[in-house]
Amino acid sequence: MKIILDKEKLNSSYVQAIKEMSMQKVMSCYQCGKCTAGCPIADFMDVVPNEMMRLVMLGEIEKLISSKAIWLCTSCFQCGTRCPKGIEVHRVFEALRSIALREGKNYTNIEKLSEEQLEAIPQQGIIAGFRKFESLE
Amino acid sequence: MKKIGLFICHCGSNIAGTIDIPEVKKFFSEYDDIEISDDYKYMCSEPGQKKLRDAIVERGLNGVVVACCSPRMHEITFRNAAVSAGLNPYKVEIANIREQCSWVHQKEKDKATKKSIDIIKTMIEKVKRDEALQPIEFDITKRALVIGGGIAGITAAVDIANAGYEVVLVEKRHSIGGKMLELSETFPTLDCAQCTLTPKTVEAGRHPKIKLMVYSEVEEVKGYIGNFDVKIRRKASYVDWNKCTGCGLCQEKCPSKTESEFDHGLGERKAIYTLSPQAVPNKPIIDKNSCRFFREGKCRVCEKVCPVQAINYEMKDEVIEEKVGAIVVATGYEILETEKIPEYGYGMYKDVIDGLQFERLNSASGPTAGEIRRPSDGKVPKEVVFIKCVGSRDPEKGIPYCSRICCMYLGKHARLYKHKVPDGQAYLFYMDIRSFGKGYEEFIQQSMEEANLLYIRGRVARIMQEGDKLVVWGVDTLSGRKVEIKADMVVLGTAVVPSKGATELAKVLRTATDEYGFFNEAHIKLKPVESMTGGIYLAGCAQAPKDIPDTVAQAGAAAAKVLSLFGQEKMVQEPLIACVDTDLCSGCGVCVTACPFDARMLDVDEKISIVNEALCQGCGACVSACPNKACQLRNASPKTYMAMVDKYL
Repeated sequence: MKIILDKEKLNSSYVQAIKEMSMQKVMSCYQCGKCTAGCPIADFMDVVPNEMMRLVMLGEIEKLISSKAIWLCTSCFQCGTRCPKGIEVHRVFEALRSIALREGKNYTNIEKLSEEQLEAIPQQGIIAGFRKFESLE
Repeated sequence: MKKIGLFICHCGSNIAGTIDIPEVKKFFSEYDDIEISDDYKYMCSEPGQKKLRDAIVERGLNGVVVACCSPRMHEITFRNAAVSAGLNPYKVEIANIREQCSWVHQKEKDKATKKSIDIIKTMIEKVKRDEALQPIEFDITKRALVIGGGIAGITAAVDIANAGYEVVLVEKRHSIGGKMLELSETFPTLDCAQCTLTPKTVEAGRHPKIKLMVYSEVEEVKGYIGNFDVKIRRKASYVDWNKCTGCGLCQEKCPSKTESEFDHGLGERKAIYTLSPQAVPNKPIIDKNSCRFFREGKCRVCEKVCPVQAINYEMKDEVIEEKVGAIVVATGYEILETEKIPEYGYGMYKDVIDGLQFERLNSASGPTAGEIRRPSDGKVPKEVVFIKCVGSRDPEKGIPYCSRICCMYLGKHARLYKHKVPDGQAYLFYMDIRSFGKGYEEFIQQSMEEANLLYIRGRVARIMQEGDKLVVWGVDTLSGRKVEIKADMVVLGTAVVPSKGATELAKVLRTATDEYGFFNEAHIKLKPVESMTGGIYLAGCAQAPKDIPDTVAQAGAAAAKVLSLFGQEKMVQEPLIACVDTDLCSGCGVCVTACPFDARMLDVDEKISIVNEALCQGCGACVSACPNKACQLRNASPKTYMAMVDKYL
């Protein structure tokens, strides 16, 4: 799908929020792709780290906060450690997760879980499940 | 009795790996006229040369054959070695057993060995017949001509003049400074172009050794390195510059206006005008095409207001002759006719401008006094798209090469735009970012980080006007998505092409240009400032697109080449040129027409043909044309060559 670029979109409240929360110079990314090359789970992501950086630069945020990739990220910090421009890419992931949480996007409906499931899943897992995976249902 | 020394070079394994050198050496040790047959791993090395020198002295050699690489490589090395041992250099010949034997016959070693023996035999025949020749010497006119008054020409002229030699600086327009004077600020330091350039233009204008000839063009060049005769046409300015004080009253009062070339059509100028406020020299010309008097026969306002009666409508072009010893070509560049890329709508949409127009928009001396206002309605554009590689790297519609400066100047433009319109958004479409120079990559990265420029990797396909917006269709290949931007203004980084008239000038200079019209250098790596013609040197974009630091460096190098020529007392030329057997010559003149270097002429009194030794390049065209075999090349007579061929067969 075509991206329509304009000043407002490039400086939207989403973009501002990501820049502020991550404290990263997002625009300095030159798309070398080293973050993705080193990411241990990039293979499983629907949006890989460098693609995510690019979409933030282009103001295409909605696709990112509904992506699975931001929840697959394990915050191992490989991306940030290796970035030649010193961008802590994992912090951008974290900012996207925070935005997703604030949007209140829940994937798990707790009412539908059985007693056995509630017994078996650790509490942290249930909370994570609100956001992460439809597959928990 | 000949005493010839043969020295066979192994060239490491380049020769020895294919040719059986001990066998070759043995073969020639018993050969007629060979005094010594020797070999060494690297003959060109100092110990190798010492072998040769010692043998000349100890054995009293009167000829030498070195069997090694091409004479283009080391002929000069061994000839110089011979001279230092007291042997005439023209008694030394090279038998090329590398390029013409070992390299091409690596799989047929026996045959290669046999062939190398044959090659050496032929060269022995040549050495036997070689005469001891003396280099030809002639005087050098120690004055230089610099063609083009941009930053390249000015730099070269000032450097040569500072060394104490006179320089004639010829500029087509009526003041010097070239393209750099049109620029607003320059990368990577963002300092004002005028501020860095004008000290140079002023220095060139006032230098006692520089004869400034503006509004002039080189029309004819005759002669050769060290002695050129040049005819320069000084176009009629219709203003007597000796009287003109540059007060500017005529410009102020002139009623005829036209598009300003200096502002690239964005502003206006009068029919009588100086090129810029900082013009050197600060003298006006009358443009006949826009002057009311020349077009309609009445007006003469400038004549009436001029306080010193400097206007002269009767003025004619003048042709001035100059004698110089060296020429520096610094004719600069133009940008490609942007209309050739029609999908960007240049020329159709007013707000699609080229890079040089943006420079004028941003310049304090430009049509908007440096405010970024778009041409159509004067509004400050809030979203500006900059497009790189417009015509560059585009073999279909433009030119296949990289113009080298656009990456940097469009980055600079976007940054300057953000300085003046902080709330504006700049988009830059690029294919690659080529930021090769000192401080350049840092400049680009800083622009991205601090000026928030959005670099988009991809080419723009088309631009359409929609209301007062320009809809730009591009792609971001990094995200794999098509991109659309509604822009207020578009700036095109149009390809750099040679100056108009460069090819014609090359013909006048009898030197070569490449397929695009840039002057050819003698060797792309080792002789980058020498042209294909002796005594003619290249500086700046005349040779290929380049930025200001590289241009200045090359201009300095060209000046150094001129100075190293002028530093010699006499010009020395190889004596291996044509000569005439006066007994055989009938004075028919066929050689005169055959000679491509104007080196042959008829001696009317003696009724024979003669050779201009300074001009003759020893090409042999006259030798093959001469019906009487009166023309010969020294040390390459038909008799010698027949003897060589006989030996080979």
